[in-house]
Amino acid sequence: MEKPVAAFLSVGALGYVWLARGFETGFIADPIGPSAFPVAIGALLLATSVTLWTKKPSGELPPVSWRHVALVAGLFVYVAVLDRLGFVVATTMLASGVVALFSGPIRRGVVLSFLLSLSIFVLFTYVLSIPLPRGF
Amino acid sequence: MAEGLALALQPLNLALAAFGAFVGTLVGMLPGIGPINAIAILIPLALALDLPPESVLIVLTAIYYGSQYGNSISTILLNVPGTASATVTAIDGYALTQRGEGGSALAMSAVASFFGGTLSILGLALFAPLLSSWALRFGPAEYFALMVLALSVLSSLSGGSVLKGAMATLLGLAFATVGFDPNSAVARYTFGELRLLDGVDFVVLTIGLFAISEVLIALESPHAKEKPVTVHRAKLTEWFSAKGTMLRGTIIGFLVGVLPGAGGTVASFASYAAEKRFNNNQPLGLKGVAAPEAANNAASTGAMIPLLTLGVPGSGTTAVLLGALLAIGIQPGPLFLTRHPDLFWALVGSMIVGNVVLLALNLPLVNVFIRILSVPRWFLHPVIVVLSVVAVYSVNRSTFDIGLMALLGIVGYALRKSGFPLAPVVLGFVLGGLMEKSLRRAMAISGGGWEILFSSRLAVAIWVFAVLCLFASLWRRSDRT
Repeated sequence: MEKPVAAFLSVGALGYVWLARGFETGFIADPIGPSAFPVAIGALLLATSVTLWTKKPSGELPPVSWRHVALVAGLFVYVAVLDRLGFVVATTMLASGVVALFSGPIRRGVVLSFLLSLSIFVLFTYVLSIPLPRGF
Repeated sequence: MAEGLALALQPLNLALAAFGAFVGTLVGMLPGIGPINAIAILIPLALALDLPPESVLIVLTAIYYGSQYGNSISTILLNVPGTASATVTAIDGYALTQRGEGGSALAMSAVASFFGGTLSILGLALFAPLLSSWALRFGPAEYFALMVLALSVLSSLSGGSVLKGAMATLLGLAFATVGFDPNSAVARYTFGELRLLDGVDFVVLTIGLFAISEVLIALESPHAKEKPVTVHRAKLTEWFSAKGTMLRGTIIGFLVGVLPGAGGTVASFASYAAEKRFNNNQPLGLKGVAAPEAANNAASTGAMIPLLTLGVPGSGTTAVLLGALLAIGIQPGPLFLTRHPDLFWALVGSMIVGNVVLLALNLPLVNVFIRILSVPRWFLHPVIVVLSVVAVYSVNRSTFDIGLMALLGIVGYALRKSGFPLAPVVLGFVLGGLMEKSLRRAMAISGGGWEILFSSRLAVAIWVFAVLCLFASLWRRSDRT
């Protein structure tokens, strides 16, 4: 999928340079300023992306299936519910979901996911002193 | 000197070293935790034990080495590097795992780490005062030249097309500019999002690019069977044939590691690049693991030099280590070597002991660690997803970062599917900040004159070297095609 990536990077580089125009500073001690470096990077990225266009990029798309979409969607749902449901419940759901995506045995998957989430919660909260959301 | 070394060999200290190496390995194995966080998490534990200073030093160095090795385990077996320098190990290490040679790669990593670690300690003991003055000669202009050299020469090393390597590097540089710019007090590319002011965290970037994209790739064939795990048998010949690789890696790693800021990352990339040239761009296999691992460990010893002689921590890990040293009442600096020779030698002793213990502990455990791969795929991947989420969340305790990780996972997947190498993205991301900062600092010193970039002999030498390397690589490519 070189074509879409090259297209995306070309447009992205243009936007990146365009946004850099807005960075302004009044400091005399900073002759280069905050926008010069991004402009240089963006220009080079644009030039290289356009070069890739001219090298007969392949337009073949990877085998994206509903499973890919489900994983990314699942992560965003997780973001939305983590604080409310708490780490153990939310993570059990997330991990069980991934088990399902890999067509694993559901019942065993849920039990293992729960044990995994619970042990990570205990390890992080009580041993490493990194609190995870408790929920509710 | 002898006393310091003898101190490290006391039974209590040996036991502490073994304990530290083991715990460090376990914590370092968790994706996204990595050595810096492992030490930061475990320091209170080491201090709470109420030990004499030299024992604390021993526990800390053992934890450090252990966590670095643990990091290599998750890098080689799962393709989830926890540090920038480990991303190079991922290139050949993970390829070996996919061919069923993960055990050999792990053992090689342990041996090369030991080799680079111990040999560089010798260098530390001999050259510490000499090398600290060499690190001091690197001002902003020299740093900028070094970054240009590193990025232009190292970005194409992971194979594939030069163009794609360059694009990946530029993408990494672009990611590095996100966030609050301290020089001008301008927020760049944050889109008004406060949680982007601190920039994209390294852990979020690597976990997203590597771990999440790995799971996305695995989802292409959700019903594939696990590969049978082959039991690894230690082969002395395998290690012996890589001795030149390890030696070169150690020397490069040690010298580059002395430079504050970029040492470990540049060292591991540079040693890999050098090894590629040395082997006429043939696939490196085990040597591709040996070179960066030896360099990485040598660099972490090299990073101790500015810490001990100047009191300047050169890396995140040595900064954490500095905090620990201060906590036990040791002030590293120009007078450290003359005032506390006993502690210096105890430290050298503890580093040697840490390395030996780690090797003795982990070679027999290689076959235990590769059992990770015999976990059924339907449960291994949920574990990777969960550990990724936890690692990313624990950086800033922010769910926003988890969303960012998911998006970066898509980016990583798209890049991998179209033949872009991921390692240069990480290289650009890590060096980008330092590169811009040193350029702007140099310009601030000269008041905007570009001549400052070529004002010292060292800077000119680096520029010349960069140009020569570029021409050499272009020459080579036009030769082949």
